[in-house]
Amino acid sequence: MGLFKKLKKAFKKVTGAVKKVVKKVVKGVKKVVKKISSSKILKALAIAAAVVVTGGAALTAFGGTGALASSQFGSWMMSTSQSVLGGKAFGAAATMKPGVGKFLTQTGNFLAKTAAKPFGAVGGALGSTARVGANILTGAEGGAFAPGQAGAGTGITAPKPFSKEALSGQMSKMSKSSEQLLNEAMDRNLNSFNGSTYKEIEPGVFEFRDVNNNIIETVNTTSTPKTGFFDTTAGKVVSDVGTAVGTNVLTGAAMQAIQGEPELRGSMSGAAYEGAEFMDPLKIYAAQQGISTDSIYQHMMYGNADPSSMYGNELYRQQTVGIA
Amino acid sequence: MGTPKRQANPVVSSNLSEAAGQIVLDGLDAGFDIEDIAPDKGPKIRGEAKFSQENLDELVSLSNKGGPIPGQSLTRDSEDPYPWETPPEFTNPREALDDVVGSIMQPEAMKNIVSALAQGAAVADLGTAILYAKFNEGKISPDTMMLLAEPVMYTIMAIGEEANIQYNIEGNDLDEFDEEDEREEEEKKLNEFRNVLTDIKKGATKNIETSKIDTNVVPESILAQVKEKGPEIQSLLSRGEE
Repeated sequence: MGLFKKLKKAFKKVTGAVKKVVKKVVKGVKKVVKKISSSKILKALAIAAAVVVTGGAALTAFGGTGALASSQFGSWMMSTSQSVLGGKAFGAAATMKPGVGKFLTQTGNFLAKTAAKPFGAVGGALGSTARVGANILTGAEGGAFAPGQAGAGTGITAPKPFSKEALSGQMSKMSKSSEQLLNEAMDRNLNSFNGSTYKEIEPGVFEFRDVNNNIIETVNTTSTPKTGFFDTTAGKVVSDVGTAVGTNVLTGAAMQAIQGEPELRGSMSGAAYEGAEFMDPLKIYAAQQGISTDSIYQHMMYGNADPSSMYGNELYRQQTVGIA
Repeated sequence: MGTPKRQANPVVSSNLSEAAGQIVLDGLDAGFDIEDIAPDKGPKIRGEAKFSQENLDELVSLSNKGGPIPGQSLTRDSEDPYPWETPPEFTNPREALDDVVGSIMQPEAMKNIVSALAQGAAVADLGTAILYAKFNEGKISPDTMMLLAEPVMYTIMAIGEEANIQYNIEGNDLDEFDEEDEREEEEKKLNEFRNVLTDIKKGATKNIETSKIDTNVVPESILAQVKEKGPEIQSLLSRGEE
């Protein structure tokens, strides 16, 4: 039997197995949730799987009228990946519609850049694909361990690596424009908010009212961020230590590069500074999954909390710390 | 519309179907309604495969053209290999998946996929064709092709769902899920009926007092015959003597 015939035969087996697994899962879900038809469960599975496979890009690809985009479920299921990975590195929410657009400001991957919107487009520019996760390790375009540029032209910067924003996965509040904050508030209150009834009651303070003229939200675009752990002394220490570690690693690596290859082999290079690797969430994840960190990207894992799929190829392609 | 009461639980699995199943269950548990997850968009387009003699003839003529002569591949110039004979462009399955799904999510490709699904093409066949083409282009290795079967099939299924098509997954299994539902429903009803029947039987025999049974209904002579013949008495349904 030739190679191609063998391939076809093997592939047929695989697709048959996939169908069996699909049926099994449909039955499994049906056992838990009664009175839902199998075809409905299949639809839900297909939607959830597409979002997982595309890292959320399917939400925009299917447009604003589809099952994916019109449901809150897509963004909800991926919200965990944001908290797990700290993926709020996208900008440009201002130009986007709520739901899908907002979701893409929070997460996304390579597909978000390449997938078209064949079922009718929503949203505007997707912004850069730079992510907090990648920024933690590389810094952004401006240089290693420098604050990253997230949404080009949006006025939003990705958090400084090891800062509270980077570690908690939040955008730097201080770096958000008032327009950005207002747009976010609009997204939040779209269902109850009547566009004609929001006004500035004080400089920088906006009130959103519903159709009955009840105040639904007051947005203070001049307010300072809430004090969290990283604002406390202990938090600052953690943040500073992280930054210092990063700086030391790269200073050492740079010095080594300037001085040339040391004759003594086996010496600890600058970039091999201890500490950073213990902060590496991927290593913890790999240990939990029982896989080797070296081949983490070769493992096809799926879910809303799988760093290798969430970081996607951007992380895979990045310049790593180990440059020595 | 259901509102989620909590954040989604983290889900990681080596199996996409399982991951999707867990996410759906988690969503339902968090307060989403099935309609929020998979909204109903009216009656679906039936993607029924129709028999066409013309297509069958074409297929037969193609297969009659014959395959390569054994050893033909070895006669090819090694300086000019086929794309699939060279190292694949994507060695990382995740990168390969992004490339494949990226090309599926283009308007022209999507249009063709939707039209094929509506005309009865099966998801597995489309997935095979797409991945096979990628392998032929030298983009992926056969191993990666196998690994990507499940995610690519799910992507095509999602496209079918989005286009509101009732599609075939493998072969002509359009109504398989509905038929199974019907079978289950029938079985459930049958079981219910059996249970009720058993209950009735139990209820009917429970109140019978054996001491009050009138033994004079059967004449004593017949009872004596029964006792006498005993094992010789055969059932009406028994096979009888040969």
